Amino acid sequence: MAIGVTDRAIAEIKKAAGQRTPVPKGLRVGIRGGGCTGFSYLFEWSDNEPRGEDKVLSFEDGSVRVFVDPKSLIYLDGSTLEYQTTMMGRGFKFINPNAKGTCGCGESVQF
Amino acid sequence: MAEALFQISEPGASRVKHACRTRAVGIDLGTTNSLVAIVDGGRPICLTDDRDDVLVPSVVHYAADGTVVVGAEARDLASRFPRDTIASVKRFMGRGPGDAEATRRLTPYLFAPSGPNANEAVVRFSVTGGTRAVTPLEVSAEILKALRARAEAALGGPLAGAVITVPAYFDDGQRQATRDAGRLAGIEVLRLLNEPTAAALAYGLDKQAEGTFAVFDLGGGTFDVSILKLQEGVFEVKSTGGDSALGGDDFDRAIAHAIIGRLGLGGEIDPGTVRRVLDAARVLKEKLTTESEAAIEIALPDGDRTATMRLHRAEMDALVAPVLARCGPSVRRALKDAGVDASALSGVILVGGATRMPLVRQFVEKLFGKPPLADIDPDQVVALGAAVQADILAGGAGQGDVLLLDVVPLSLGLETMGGVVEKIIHRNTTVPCGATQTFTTYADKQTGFELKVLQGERELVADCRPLAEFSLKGIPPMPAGMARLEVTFTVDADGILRVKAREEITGQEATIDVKPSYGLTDDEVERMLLDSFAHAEEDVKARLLAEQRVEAQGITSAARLAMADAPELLTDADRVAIEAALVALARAEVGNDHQAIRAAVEEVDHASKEFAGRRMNRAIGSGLRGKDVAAVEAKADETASKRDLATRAGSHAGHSH
Repeated sequence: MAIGVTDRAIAEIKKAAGQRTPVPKGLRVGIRGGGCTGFSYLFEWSDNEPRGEDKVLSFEDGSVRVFVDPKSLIYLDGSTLEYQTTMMGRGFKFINPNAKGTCGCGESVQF
Repeated sequence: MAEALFQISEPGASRVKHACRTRAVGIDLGTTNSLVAIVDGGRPICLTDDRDDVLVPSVVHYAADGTVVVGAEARDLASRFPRDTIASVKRFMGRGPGDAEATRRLTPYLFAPSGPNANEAVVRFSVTGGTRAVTPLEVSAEILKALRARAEAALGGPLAGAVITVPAYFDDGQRQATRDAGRLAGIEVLRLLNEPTAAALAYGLDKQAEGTFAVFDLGGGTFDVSILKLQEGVFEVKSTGGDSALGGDDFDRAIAHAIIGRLGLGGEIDPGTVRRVLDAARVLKEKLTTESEAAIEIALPDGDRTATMRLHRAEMDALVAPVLARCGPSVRRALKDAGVDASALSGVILVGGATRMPLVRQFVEKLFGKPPLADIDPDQVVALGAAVQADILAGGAGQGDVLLLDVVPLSLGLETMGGVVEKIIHRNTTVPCGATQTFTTYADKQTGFELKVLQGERELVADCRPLAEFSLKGIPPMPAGMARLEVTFTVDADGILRVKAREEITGQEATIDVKPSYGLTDDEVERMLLDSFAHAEEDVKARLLAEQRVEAQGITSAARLAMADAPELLTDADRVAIEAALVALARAEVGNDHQAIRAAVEEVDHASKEFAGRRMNRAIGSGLRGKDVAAVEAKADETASKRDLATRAGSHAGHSH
C-alpha cells in the first residue's frame, strides 16, 4: 500500500501550508461517494492530528504530512500525487492506476 | 477534455461532508407519517419507538402552555384541539398564503393574517387561540426534531447528518423549505433525495436487480411516478411525473364527504367534527384493506349522540376510484417520456401506505400489465433507501458505486429564423449533459448572431419561456451559409445551463450561464408540458410553415442579390426561368400550405442551379487568391447588420460525460 508524492508536489504543499493560519496539521486526501461519476477526490487541510487508523505519509522530516483513511487507501494505492502547471491552470492531480474513468470535469472518478 | 487540477480545500469544504458512518440517517418526511432509518451491519433498518412502532405520525400539537407534542400523541389530540394540531403539513411546504392549492381544501385550520413583513410568502397557522403563529417550516422542524431524538436515542450519541426525501416534483422553494426545516431541527442535511429514487435504491440493493423499473408512489399527500434504469449498479432516472397534491388524504376526503352527506351534516360544520369525520374515514379505509365491510361510530356535533357509519369495500372503491384515476395520465406520460413501453418494464415498485389498498394494486396491475412488487413494506421503503444513500455519502463501504442522476425538466433550445425553436437538449435528459449543434448565417455578409435561449416543449418561440439572450459579433462577412457557428449547451450536476457559441473560422466566442429551473413552479412545468401535448399538431404545422417561409425568403433574396451581383454569369434562359420560379414562389409564400412553398422553393433551386454553380466557383477562386480582409470588413460593416441566428447547417448532437 503506497502513494507517491512528487518533489514538486511536496514543495507546493509545504508552501501553501506555510501561508495558511493556523498552520495545518497535515493534508487529508481520500475518496468520497458523490460527484458525477460516483466518487470524488477529497483534498483538504486537516487541523486535527491523524486518526488512529489513518495512514500517514511523512516527508521532509515530518514537515509535510499527508493523511489517508484506510478505505480511501484501497482506491489510491499505487497513485502518484503530482503538481502540474498546464494551460488549464495549476494544481494537484492524482495519477491513479485504479481509475477506470473520469468525468469531463475530472472532479469525479470511477473504479 | 483535460482533467481538472485540485486546489487544497479548507476542512469540511469538500463537496461531500464528513460524517461518521453509523451516525448518518435517512429520513422520510412524509405527509401522513415520517420515519427514520440507519444502515446497521450493511442492511438498512427503520428505528422504532419504545412501542416498536416505526411510524411517527406527521402531526404536531401546540398546547396552550407552550409545549409541543409530536406523533401519535399529537394525533390523538387532533379531534379535541383541531386548530392547534397540524396534520399533513407537507402540503403547505413552500406555499404562499394566496396559494389556493394550499388553503382551499377542507381543513380545520385557522390561517394567520400575513405577518409584519409584508413580503412574507408563506402560509402561517394560527394556534393556541391566536397567541402563536407557526409556519409549515417550523411545524416540519418539530417532526424532524422528534425523529432526531429517536435516532440519537438509538445511536447513543449526536447525529452527524441526514438524507431527507422529497417528492420528485417538489420545486426549488419546497426543497429549500425542507432543507431549512432540517437546519432548524439541528440536523445537517447531507442531501435531499427524490422519494421514488430512494425506494429503488432500497430494492436495487436488496435484489441486485438490473433492468427498467417504474416506481408508483402513492403516499398520504403526494403521488410520484418515476421510470428508473438500473444497470451494473448504476441508477438512472429516465423520467419523472406526478402530482404534488394527490394522495391517500384525498381518499379520506372523498370518503369524508360521503359520510357528511350520509349523516346529513350539511351547512356549517365545526372544525372538531371535520377532524372526527376525516379520522373516521381513514379508519374505515384501513379496515376495508383487509375486510369487505366495516363500520365506525362517529360523535355528532350536537352533543352526546353518535351515529354509525357502515361502508362496503365496493362502495368505498366507487368513492375513491375517480381520485385514483388521476394517476393514469401521469403514468402514461412518464412512460412516454422515458421511451419505455409498459411491457418492457422489469418491475413496478409500490411505495406509500395507500398502495396497500386492494383497489390501488388492481389499478396498478391493470395500468402496467403486471403485478407490482411489494416485498418491502411500502411505508418503510423510502426511509430505507434514504438510509442507504446517507451511508454512501457518509463514506460507508460496499455500495459506493451507486450513482443517482437527475434529469432536465423541460427542453432547452435556441431561436432560429422564423421564430422557430431548435431544441438542443431534450426534456428528461440526465444531467450532467451536453450537446452541440452547428448553425450558419442566413444572410450574405452577416457579421453577428443574436442568440436567444429558450425553455419549453412547444415549437414556436412565442410559446416557450425565454431564459437568456446574448450576441456574438465580429464575424467577417461571408456569403450566407459559409460561417460555421458551433453552439454548445451543457447542464452541470446542479442544473446550471451554460451556452457557448463559437464561430469556427474566426474563433470568436461568447458564453452565458443560466439557471433554467429558476422561478418555475411544478405547476408551471406541468402546464407547459400539457400545452405542448394539447397543441402538438398545430405546433408542428406552424413550425413547418414558418420554416418554409424562411427558406422562401432566404432563397428569394439570395437569388435577387446574386443576379444583381453577377449578371455576367447569367444567361438569358436562366434569367427567364429564375424570374418565373420566383413569381411562383412569392404566390405560394402567402398561402398556408408548407408543401406548396417547399415545391416552389425547389423549383427556384432547380432553375438557378447552373448559375449558382458558376458563381460559387468564382467565389471560391477569389477567396483562394486572398483579398484584403480589412477592406472587405469595412465595406461589410456599412451594409451588413446583425441577423437572427439562421438556418441549421447540420448537427451533431451528442452527450458528453
